[in-house]
Amino acid sequence: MKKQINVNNDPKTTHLKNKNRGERHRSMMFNIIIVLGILIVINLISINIFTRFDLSRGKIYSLSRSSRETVRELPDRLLIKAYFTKNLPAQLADAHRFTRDILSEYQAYSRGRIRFEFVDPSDEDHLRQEAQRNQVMPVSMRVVEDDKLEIREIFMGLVFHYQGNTETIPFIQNTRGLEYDITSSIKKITDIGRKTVGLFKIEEPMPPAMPGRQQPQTRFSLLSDMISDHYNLEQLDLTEPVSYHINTMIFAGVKDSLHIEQIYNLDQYLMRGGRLLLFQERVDANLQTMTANPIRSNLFDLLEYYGIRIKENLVTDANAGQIQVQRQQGIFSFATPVSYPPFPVISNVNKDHVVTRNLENLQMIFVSEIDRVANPSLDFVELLKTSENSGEIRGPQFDISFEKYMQQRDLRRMFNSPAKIVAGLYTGYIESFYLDMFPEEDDSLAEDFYYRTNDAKIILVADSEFIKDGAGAGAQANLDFVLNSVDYLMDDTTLIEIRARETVFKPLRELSTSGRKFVRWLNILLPSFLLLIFGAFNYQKQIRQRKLIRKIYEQE
Amino acid sequence: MLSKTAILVKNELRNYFHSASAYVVLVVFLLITGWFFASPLFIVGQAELRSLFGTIPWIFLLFIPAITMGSIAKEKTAGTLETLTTLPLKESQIIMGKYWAALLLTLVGVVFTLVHFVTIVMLGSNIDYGAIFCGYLGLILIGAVYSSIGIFASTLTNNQIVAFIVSFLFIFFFVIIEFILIFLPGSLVEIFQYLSIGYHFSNISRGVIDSRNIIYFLSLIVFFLRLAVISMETRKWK
Repeated sequence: MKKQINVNNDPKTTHLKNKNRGERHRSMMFNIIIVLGILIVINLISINIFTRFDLSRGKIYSLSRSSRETVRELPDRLLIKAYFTKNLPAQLADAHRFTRDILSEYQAYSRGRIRFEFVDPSDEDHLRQEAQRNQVMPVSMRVVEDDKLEIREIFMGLVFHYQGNTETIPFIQNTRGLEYDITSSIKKITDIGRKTVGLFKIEEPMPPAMPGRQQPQTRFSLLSDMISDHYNLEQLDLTEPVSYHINTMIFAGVKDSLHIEQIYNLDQYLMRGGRLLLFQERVDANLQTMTANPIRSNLFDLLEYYGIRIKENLVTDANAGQIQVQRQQGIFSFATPVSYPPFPVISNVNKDHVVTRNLENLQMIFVSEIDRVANPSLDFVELLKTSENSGEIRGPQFDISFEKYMQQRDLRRMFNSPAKIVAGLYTGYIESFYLDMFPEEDDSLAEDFYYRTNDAKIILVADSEFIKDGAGAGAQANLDFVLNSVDYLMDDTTLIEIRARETVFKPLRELSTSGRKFVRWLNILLPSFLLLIFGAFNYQKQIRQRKLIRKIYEQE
Repeated sequence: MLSKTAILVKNELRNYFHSASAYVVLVVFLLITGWFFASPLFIVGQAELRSLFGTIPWIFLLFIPAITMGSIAKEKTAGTLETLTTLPLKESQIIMGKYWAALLLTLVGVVFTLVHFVTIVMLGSNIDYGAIFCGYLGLILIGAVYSSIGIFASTLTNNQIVAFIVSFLFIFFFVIIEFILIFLPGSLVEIFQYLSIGYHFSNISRGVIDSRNIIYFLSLIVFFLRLAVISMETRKWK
């Protein structure tokens, strides 16, 4: 009789089975842990060593080197709170989306230091108050909604929180230059890589305020505010040597000679490699008093020694800005706008140079002409020129009256001189103005004296009104030129490129209401319809195959 | 000559398209995506597919578990898995066959959304083709990750509904992380943000291909497929 053995109940076999299962479990867990470990290590490596390809149109998500370096160096966490109204109309929605996208780019490069969040303060009082406390104010805008024109209050601002400090971009109207603004705000709040610009200016009395407008305290408030948004700004009087942490100086023009130590400090600043953005004309003209006189200053001696020469004239251009002229007709007096050629509007910019490439319509106010460089070791690049219908007002009278222009129907007939250079860039080798006073053989005389520089960089605009409130600074293009020039002199040329970068609006073609309805339903139903056609073909094919198989079997 | 996995994929796809259920699922998917694309089309007024790329990952959350839930679980219930395992196929080949079939079916759904692409090409201007290409690439990667999770969930149980719920929960975890970041302490935000699928997809969908995002997606795919293979192997112990 055969003995039946129940393997399942055999304690030895059960023990062996359990032992095997335990080993398998351990091996399985080990396998999972190994796979997980390898994947974690690969991901950790990839976080630090990565590459990005921006395939978007115009590569709008490729952050500039300057922006990447700024966020990479963040020592602490930075929170960016975006106060944005939801459901914005198409053009504003583009700004909303781009803001979110570009913030993601900053986050991607920040090694986890940057976090951002979007909130809509429109319907929540506490968020509204919070936004306004942070200087993000609602802006009333006309929007088309449901084919009706409505006025809506819209929030579109960014607030940066870093170590208890806040910085704000109050309103993002469009995407142009957004990266520049964000990077500048991050630099400002964190003080990372924020450079200092010096401003040498001589304050003059302000012209009378416009009725109903507040009189600003300085003629450089627009310039100062703009520079302060992007750089630390330090006032200079040049009575002391310029500090070494300043390597770019804005020189806002003089009407007279400077003290000898001011000239000396300016010379030495340039000799030690300091960069200069110089606004200086040769003739001091005043529209109120209708007078114009040549400026006599030792500054011109210094400049001419370097090889920089400004002609003693005022440039005129048929392409000109306007002035308001009071006219009397009977008992009535009224203001008429008159094109005034001593206020050239510059569109003839150097499109090949990074400073001026993206600019147009710059406003000049009594500008002089720049003479081409005489110093062969100093390179000169023309930046701004008047149009091909230019002229000049020469001394000794400098007739700046406007009457002669009022009668002219076409100003181009009056001006037939070729374009005149009104702004340019000088680079290269210059020697100190005081070279003779400090012989190189005698070291004891000049311990801290700089004899020469191979790396001079000077941008000259032959018009100091170009940057003043109530004059040229009212034109955005003028301020953009200043900022571009400062960025260029600071060697931050990538910043100039990103200031002009913006998203491209991609509008859909206008369709009638019925056309829109058709497109809508077509997009809802057509994909399924096409799929069902595919299904029907497939079904037919299946039936044909079945028939074929049946036929083969029947034949057999 | 087709490899064993390719034969399995072909067979799976034939089964999908010979049954009405695949068409039902795909039609529902296309109607929903069509609706979400077309409704705001003229309100947004932009010639782009960002709204589509924003919607499809949410629809995938239900669509892909519905496709994958039966991949292994159904075979188990029907007893055909035993037959399959008796064939000269490794567990990994079975899993890869099922995985590619599910992914290809998902891609068939995505291909039919090209109707929306044609619409914006015909009606719009200044179209950002780079961003659209990347958007579709992102959808493929998301589909691949969700499919791997779905296949893994399907190996865990005999019940298709349970497989659906398990894969839904796993996928939902990776999706929802993005929205709970504000409740997390600062020290954990970075880690959880990295785990979030939405964070990685947002980069690709706007036209930026980042090696970190690709590695993240590939890691999830490899991890869940490996888990699925291990889960299949454990069947032999019982």
